[in-house]
Amino acid sequence: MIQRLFGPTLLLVAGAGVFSALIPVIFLVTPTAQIAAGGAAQRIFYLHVPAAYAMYLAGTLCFVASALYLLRESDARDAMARAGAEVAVLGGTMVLCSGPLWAKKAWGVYWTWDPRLTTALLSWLVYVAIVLLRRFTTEGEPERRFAAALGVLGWFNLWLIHLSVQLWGGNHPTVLTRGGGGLHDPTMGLALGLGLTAMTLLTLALVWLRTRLHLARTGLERVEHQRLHDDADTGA
Amino acid sequence: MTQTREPNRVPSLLPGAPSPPDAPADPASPMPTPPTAPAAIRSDEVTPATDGRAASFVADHGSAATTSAEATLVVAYLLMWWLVFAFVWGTFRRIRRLDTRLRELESAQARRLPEHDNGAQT
Repeated sequence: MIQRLFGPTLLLVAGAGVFSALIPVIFLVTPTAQIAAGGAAQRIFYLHVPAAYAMYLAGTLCFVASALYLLRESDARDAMARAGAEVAVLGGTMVLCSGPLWAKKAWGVYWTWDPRLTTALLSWLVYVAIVLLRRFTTEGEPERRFAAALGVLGWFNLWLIHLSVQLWGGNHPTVLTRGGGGLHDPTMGLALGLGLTAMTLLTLALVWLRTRLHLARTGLERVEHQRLHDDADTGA
Repeated sequence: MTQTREPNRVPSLLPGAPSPPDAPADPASPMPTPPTAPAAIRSDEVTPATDGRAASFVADHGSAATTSAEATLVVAYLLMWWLVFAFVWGTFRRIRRLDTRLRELESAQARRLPEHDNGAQT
């Protein structure tokens, strides 16, 4: 088991290392932003944006694996699609938890039906649906294909999150979109870069790990099924 | 001090949106003016919020009001880390269980093979 998990474990350790460097940068190096941006609460940005990026990345991996699965079925593609959806749920949960904590300080409310928030919630629900579908149904072919179709659909919804601010306005900050003012302090860019790097490593590690898990589980179920068959044949 | 911002730019679905202030009471009137019901926000009064939202982050040095959110920050980061660690721990735990089960099956298979061989010979 140690050999099989060396790759993802290495990525996890690397990601943890980058996060360890990120935390002091966030709390000790980056300046506090202006009051209109939430003041000290703006520092949630350095986790909130990387978490959203993790959801995009995992959702993209789910999309690729799902599309390939629909073209030609294989256990590996199905496992990776399922893993991508699970990690996208994790990233989305982090986004939807961290954002309202910042919003309470900046806007005075935890939640609004802002276009970006609403589309982010919708995307998260699509990936939750995929995870629940795979968790509570059998491992039959129709269920796998249905989940793969949802995985393809979910990716297009991620684009809506990204474009929602330009298309429909709203209250969500537009710091990183075209036309936005950007980060006016170089240490802010450093913290964001570290966060994105750490989340890339973490997302790839988790998708890799979960893919291995699902492949192992599928293989084990096949072996057990075969064993039951053999027992039935021999009358044991 | 908690920083609040009047959420008057968002659509009317926002719960707890502030209602317009009541009209001032006439000091000569003996009866208090009954409170008016909050006016419903008409669709033509709702405008997309384009001003007031942050389009950039700039450093704000020396402001006392920026230090009130540190508890929120710590809670947010702890919550995120808890989520990630719980996910990773759960994954490794399931992998361990699968490995254990696989080893059981392999040893059962290995025990069965000599029995099959004996059966074949007789």
